[in-house]
Amino acid sequence: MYDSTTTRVVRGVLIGIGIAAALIFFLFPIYWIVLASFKTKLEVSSPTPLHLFQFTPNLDNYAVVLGLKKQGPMAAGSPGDFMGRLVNSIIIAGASTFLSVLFGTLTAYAMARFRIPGKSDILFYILSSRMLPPVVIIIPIFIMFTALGLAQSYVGLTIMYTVINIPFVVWMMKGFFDEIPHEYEDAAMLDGYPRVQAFFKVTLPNAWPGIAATAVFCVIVAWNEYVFAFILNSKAAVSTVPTFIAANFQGTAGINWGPIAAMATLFVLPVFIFTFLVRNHLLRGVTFGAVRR
Amino acid sequence: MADTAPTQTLRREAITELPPIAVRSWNPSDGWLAFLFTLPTMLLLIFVGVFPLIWSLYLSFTRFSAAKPNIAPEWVGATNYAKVMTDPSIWSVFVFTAKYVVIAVGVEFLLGFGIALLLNRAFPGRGLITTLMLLPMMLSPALAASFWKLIYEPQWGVSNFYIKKLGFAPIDWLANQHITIYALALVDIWQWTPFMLLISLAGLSAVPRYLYEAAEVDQASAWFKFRHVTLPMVWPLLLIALIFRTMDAIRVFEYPYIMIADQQATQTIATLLYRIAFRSWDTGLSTAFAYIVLVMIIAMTNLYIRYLTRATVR
Amino acid sequence: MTDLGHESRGSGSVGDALARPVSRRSFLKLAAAAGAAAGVTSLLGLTTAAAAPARVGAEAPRFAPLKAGGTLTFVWIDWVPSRLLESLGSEYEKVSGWKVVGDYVGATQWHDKIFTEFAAQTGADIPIGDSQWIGEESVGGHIMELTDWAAKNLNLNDINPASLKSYGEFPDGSGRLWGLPCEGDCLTYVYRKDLFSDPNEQANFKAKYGRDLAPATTWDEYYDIAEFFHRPDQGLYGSAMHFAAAYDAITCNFNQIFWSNGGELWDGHNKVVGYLNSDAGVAALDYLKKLYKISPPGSGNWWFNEVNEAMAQGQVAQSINWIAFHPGLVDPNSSKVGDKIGFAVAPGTSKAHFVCLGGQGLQVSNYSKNKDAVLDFVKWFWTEETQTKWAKGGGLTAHLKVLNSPEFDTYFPWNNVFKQTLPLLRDFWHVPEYAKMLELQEQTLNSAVVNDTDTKEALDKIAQGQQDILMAAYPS
Repeated sequence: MYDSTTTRVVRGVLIGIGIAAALIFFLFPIYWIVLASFKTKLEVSSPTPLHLFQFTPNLDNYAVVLGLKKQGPMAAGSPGDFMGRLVNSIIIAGASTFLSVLFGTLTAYAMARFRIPGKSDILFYILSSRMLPPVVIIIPIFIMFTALGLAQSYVGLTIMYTVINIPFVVWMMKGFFDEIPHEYEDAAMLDGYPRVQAFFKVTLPNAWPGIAATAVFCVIVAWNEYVFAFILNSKAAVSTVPTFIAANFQGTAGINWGPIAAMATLFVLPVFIFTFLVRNHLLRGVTFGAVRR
Repeated sequence: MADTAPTQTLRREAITELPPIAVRSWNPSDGWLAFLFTLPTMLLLIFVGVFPLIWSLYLSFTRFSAAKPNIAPEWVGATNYAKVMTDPSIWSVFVFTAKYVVIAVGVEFLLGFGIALLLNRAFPGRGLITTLMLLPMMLSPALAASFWKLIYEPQWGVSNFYIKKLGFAPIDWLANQHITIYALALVDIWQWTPFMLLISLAGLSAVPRYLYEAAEVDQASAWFKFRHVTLPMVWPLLLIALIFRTMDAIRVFEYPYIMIADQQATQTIATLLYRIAFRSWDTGLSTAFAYIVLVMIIAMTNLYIRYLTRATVR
Repeated sequence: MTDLGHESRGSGSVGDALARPVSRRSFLKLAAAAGAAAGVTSLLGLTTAAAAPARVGAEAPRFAPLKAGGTLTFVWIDWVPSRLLESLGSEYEKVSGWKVVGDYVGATQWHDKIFTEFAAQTGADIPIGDSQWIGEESVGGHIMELTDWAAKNLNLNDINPASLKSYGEFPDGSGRLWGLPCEGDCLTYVYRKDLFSDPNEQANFKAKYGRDLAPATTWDEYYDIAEFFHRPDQGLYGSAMHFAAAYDAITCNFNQIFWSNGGELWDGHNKVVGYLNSDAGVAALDYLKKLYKISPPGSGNWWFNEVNEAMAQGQVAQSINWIAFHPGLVDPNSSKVGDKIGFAVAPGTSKAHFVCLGGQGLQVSNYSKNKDAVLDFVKWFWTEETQTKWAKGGGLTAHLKVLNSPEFDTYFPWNNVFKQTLPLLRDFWHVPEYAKMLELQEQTLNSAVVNDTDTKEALDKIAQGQQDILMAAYPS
């Protein structure tokens, strides 16, 4: 009602162009990888790039990855155990995301609402666990986990991923809780609700964008994590997909582009689906009533 | 939820000074809740952190190689630290990493927030388009590095095919050590702008609509709304995202390692650390190096956090 | 509106009890207690592990009768030879009741995995690694010395002596054996038969250079042919070689050109200055720089995969690569020019002829719980029968009888080349410090070639740096 139609149309077109440009930039390499999963090895590294209708797609790579077809002896490795690894990845990433979001959110809430002695020190300590490059702690972690029987198990790696993700959840959720006026809970508590119920009734619904965003990121981190998975869970029964992809990467003929692309495509799907499912929580526009501070 | 909030007395006043956030209602039973809520987190972090901390800190003052555990560590005091500080080649690694971080994170921040602003409106397919934009982040960095290396290849890569078609000479993205930093940064930007996008969107989604409505009643322009409503509310979250993204960018490993392994002029902190720890197996030196990097990161995040506290305490 | 800042008392006795505000001191005490508990738990777990039985000492084991049943693991890259080893292992299982299973790892993580597991005193029973790793493995106490056992249980005369030395002997010249050859490999010369036998090309080449177009036997010939086929506008280049700074990419090529020019890398102990940066070094580095200028764009980052790719796509006329990757070149599924590939011995010079050694040897982990079974397997692996199967399946054996049998050449088109190259093979340092020395050499050579910096300066830098490393480890 304040902008003329022309302005709005022009703005709409410009925004549309912007979004389209961003989509092209982000999706082109993805498109390239998905395409590669339907190509033969020679087609993938063809000097003339082969786009969507310039080659005959085939499902060989997927068949190989899923164990439905054996590769010739010259192509190394025998993917085929992919699904088992995928299940492992789902279990470990799912459990660690759940735990890190749960513990992290609780801690963040406490940090945002309560008076805690040494709060900023504690927060900084939590942040600092994200600061060391993993290479330094790989060996002591491996020694420690092997001694405690946590290596080669779901539990050990889940603990590791939870620990890796908690700092992000704590800081992010604290930021979100800081933005949610505490007056809501106070009002609810004045009405007689205990703190915990006030949290569920009032605060949590407003915190969903934050929780969804952090959950998505935690899933991605745990899903793609390689270094600890490689060292701690090297046995096939408990190993995750990233190590599997790395092990099948190099073939005798060169890099196994086709099967790797197929694995990458299959591996991205669950995360994509998860994000798609929570998109509404991610993007909700908040229209709740007012409390003026 | 909105309907149960008892306060319907919405007074449309101009935005005045806000009371400091530090004032909170304090319910004494909260003391134990606070402890309980923080406990699992702290237990986990300490449990996993104690041994590596002691192990690596102790070893940073010794000469020791984890590949030769049968030879006991030999105490050498601060020699490793001195070696790191005085080695001229290490300085160039810091400089290179710093340049990389500034370029990559800077662009990610601006681009991510910018695209989030574009997406912060209702339109058909918004959920799907947003999820699609997050795809690069969902790929593992190692895979991204490998495929981008394929894209960059002068002889059979997509990028150079079109560059040659446009009439230019093929760009040697990775071997030409002047361009390498931009080639690497581009991959980082491609993969992690969605991260800034994700956080920005979540932050923008959490800005209460009524604030916009109030501003519109006062006939505020789009710029005013952005500057005085959107930005102040989203800024703290952006800053947190920035902190994490910076910390991760400083520790970037897969892109240089997979795309340009071992090139002299383009080593990053993480690849150098890896080489000292896992090629030379000089455990003492690598742990000392890691702690020096840690101190630098702590100093930097302190700056960020100071901005953050200033931004939240209005 | 809510009156902020008031403390309201909770109801109920429990509520009252819990209602005291938590002071900073008591909170910190609690937190410290919790933290200490967590810390102590983790440390306790470790001390129990540390009290576990100590590592077996370095004495040679006695060869005891087998207990049947169980699994032996080896750790290697996932490729044809390792799959072959596993399938041979299933034959061993029929004989002995022991399963042999591969613990596969990606090429770039291979070294890390083996040594990280060593650091925690676990890992596969049979680590299989590059020949240069023997030094650090033995000095670190991770592998079993095989000298006595091999003397009693193997016919060492059947093993090609140069291979045995390279994959097993440490220190050099001591006669002490720490491993055995597993898979041989070397750099070979790959060329396009069709281009070389084309009459037009032959005529033009003869006109320009005054000799016949034939696979190069010297590096100068190699360069001439490369120059001759340098046709960027037609999408054809004359040569593809490893120039990357990764691991040992450019060094292996440099080394063999260097040795063929009469150079010595070091004095075998701790001197490098005067050896590496001699005239031979200058000749070798200058040659590489010259060659780089007519190599395809992007070569500065090329290693075996890219060189293979260039060859397979038909973009280069010659290349130098490891035999390990040759199968891909002749397979029509991964090569456009599969039927046009020829193999020959890598070039040398009129002064000398040396070729860089590759391949892996197998060792016995000191942390293995099944040493007897491992040794039995190794003994079985080294019988002529098994080595014949190994060669037939694509493994490059070091067993002399199998190598010299007339059938050997028929198994694969490059086998004959491998055999011819064997006497020319040479390896570089085995000492534990090799990694640091290699890194320095790699980076400096790559930088000098790609950035066209001063040759003598680069070589002096490498020589001095390597000597410093060696002097620090072996002062006298």
